[in-house]
Amino acid sequence: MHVDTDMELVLHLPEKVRRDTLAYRGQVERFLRGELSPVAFQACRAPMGIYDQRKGGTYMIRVRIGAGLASSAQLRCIAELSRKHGNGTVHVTTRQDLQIHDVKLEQTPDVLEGLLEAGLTSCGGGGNAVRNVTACPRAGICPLEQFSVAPHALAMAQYLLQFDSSCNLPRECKIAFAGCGKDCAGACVADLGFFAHRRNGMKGFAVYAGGGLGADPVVAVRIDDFVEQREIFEAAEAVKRLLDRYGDRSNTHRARLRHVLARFGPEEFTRLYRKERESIRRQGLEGEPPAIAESPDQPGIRTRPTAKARTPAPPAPDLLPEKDKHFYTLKLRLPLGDIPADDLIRIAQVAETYGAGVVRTTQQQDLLIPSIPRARIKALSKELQTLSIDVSANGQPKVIACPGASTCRLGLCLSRELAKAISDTLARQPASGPDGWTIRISGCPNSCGQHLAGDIGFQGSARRVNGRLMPCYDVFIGAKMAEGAARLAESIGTLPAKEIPEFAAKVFAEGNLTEDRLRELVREYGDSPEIPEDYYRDWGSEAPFSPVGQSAEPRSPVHELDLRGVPCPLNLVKAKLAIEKIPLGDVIEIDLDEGEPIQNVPVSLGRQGQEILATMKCEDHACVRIRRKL
Amino acid sequence: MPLSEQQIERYSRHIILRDIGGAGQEKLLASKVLILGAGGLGSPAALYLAAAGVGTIGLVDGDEVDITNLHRQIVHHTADIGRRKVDSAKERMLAINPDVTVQTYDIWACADNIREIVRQYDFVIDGADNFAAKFLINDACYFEKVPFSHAGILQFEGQLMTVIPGQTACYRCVFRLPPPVGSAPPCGQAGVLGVLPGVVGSLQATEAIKYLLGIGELLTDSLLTYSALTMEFRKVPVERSSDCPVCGPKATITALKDEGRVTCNKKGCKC
Repeated sequence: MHVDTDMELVLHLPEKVRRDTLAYRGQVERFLRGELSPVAFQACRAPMGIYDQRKGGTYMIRVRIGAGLASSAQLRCIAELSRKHGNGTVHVTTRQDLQIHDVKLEQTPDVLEGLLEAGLTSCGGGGNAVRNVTACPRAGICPLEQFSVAPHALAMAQYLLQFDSSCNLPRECKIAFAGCGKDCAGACVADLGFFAHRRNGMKGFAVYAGGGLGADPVVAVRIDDFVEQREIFEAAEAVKRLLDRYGDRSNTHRARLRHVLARFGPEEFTRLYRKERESIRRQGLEGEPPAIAESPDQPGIRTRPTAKARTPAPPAPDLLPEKDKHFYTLKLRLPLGDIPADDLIRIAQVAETYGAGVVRTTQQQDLLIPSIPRARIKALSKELQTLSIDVSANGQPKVIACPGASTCRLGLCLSRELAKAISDTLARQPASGPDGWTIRISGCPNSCGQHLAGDIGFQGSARRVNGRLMPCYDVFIGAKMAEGAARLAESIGTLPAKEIPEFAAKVFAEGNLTEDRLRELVREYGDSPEIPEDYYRDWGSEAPFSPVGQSAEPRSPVHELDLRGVPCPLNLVKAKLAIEKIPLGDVIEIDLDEGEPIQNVPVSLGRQGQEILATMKCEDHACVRIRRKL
Repeated sequence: MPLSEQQIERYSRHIILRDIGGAGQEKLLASKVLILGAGGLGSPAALYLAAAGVGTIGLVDGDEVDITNLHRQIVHHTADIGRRKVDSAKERMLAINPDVTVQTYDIWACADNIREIVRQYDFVIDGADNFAAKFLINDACYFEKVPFSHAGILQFEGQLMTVIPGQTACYRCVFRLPPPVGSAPPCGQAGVLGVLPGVVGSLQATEAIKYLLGIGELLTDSLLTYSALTMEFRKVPVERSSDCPVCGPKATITALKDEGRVTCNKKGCKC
């Protein structure tokens, strides 16, 4: 069965992306000459997927990998750029992007132009833009899918990247395509999610909108029962216009599509969506919607399969069956989603030799090499042993972490260091426990680790104990990702960061766990009569824990205000007055009573545009840390 | 000056508003608004500006409280009949909010005295009940470059507009001259719904506060008309007139003049 190569399953970048990329160099030069203010420059670089890191002067570049599909040539390009301009380690994100870290500002244009040559871009990788359009990582090869949604995800990105408006939304817009109800793509927590269905033999989608993790997390709501595949651009354009028109640009904390949905309610929102689609149908779509590639079931294979396999493939968690029984997908477990550039080049080459010359990135921060004929699995596995890291799962659960406070300015806790501590602890005991479970860690409430979608989730936070700050994680369980029946995880308690690996070890040693038993375990670990000194230090850090200030830059002092005993709304009034007196960008820590005060004051201040950094529980009261933004 | 504990409580509902905050409230306390006329329009304006904590409020009225005023001029009470209007109003304003300073001018504003008073204030509210006074106020505010709120009421209808002199349409851009004497009856003859100036005067206070805080969109280059019987509000766009006699490039009015009667205090007439 020789199928055409995967030439069609490629994200064709519109001309605008090329123009914007070339213009970026000029913007960097102007900024470095002092002709562009930091704020103005931020507006240029954020939509180009360039993030500043805690280490001043260095940047992270987030490369979109449409539908999680990358060719070997593209992987090589990214690896080379990481080696030359970055820190030599490439990271796979929970939205199937690939990240290059520690790039000096002056070199960011070189990276962007290098990416362009391989047909790659970081445009829309960040900022208030339409982000990477993701798909199930096994689209086209998964035995369970209705049909491959990779062509649709690619076409959608190609369509939306043409427009200026796609980078100038009130907030970012995350779009995902799921090939079936199991939703490995995470469409039920996307701003816009498409679930593949067939109706009368026609390919189409159920459309969901308004999902999201992070602040005010919520599962998406169905706004359209069925759109034919050629209508997806119209549907997306309609939703994008609603976000553009109704997203609250004056308050960044209430500007996502899910906030618009909450304001209108699902019925009114659906009505507005239908009206918008009507109007688009009458006026016609702006720009030509791209053709959706006819998906071959196998994304381009190079070799003919052997007529008969000599030995059956060894069952292994790293090996996944494909639609076509002659082929398998090999999963490469990347600890913390990181892969050294040299290894990535090796993987690219191996994918060409043994597979179809493509690699898939997954929402679990792993890589897949698809289309491996059964007979070649052994040879391939042997080749992979020459990689510098161990990419086999060894039966352990996958631990997914956001970048965390070591590099991310928004992070509270060192989530990657916790992930490592958990993996190390679990590796010391025989692999067991709930099969295929994932542990997801976010270092702060922004949820980049998608902890509300994991089997066990941890969200970084801080507690004041005995007058000192202690890094903690709220524990979440019970998530269910499935079309129409999705459920976000719920909190069952909080544990000191230092107790989490042991907790995880116990969970996985005990095997099948009920929710009750898990709650008991949290309680068991939560009660600590005497607190060891190292609890006040986060994993991987020697310094006393501070949720703000892991950066190397000098910090301005944290202002303090004690509003204990002050009732609502006077406490809000006084908090506002205090905030008005501190410089913009400074941090203030406010003590409040438990109950209504801590429930109301941070929310009200957040709604008015201040940045709520952390809400902490202390022994007999609560405390909120705020950065003044307005 | 920082807000005292009492002020924080008194103005808490202002401070909570994102567009006001402590900084906005302090701005109000440092502001000065002049109200010309302590009658139908001036009453609610005076009460609300005092409540809001506008630091200095000037009140100009040369009249005394009459029983016929009381159905609409809610700053005055029955016990005030016979009292000077400015005294009665000041007492009521301070009772609501002792924080504010009320500067009273127990006089009729006219061409000789109005400019001197207007120039001390940040914003002016036209609460006058006759056309000559309204034109006088417009011209004085133009010469002193003080923004003001114009309003007029009769029977069941009212109108309102805000003027930033030299920038937006002024009263004369829209209404060139006073109407011929006798053509537009005063309230005493035509009658007026008591609550009507309550609504319109409150809108004037709103414009004053917005101007002082620098928030929202002012009712400039717009004439708001209100019909109480139909509950219709209409915003009619108006423009600066290129041949406005006072604010246009070929202005003919370069000094104030009392046009006709500034006040309808014909002996025995009680409007």
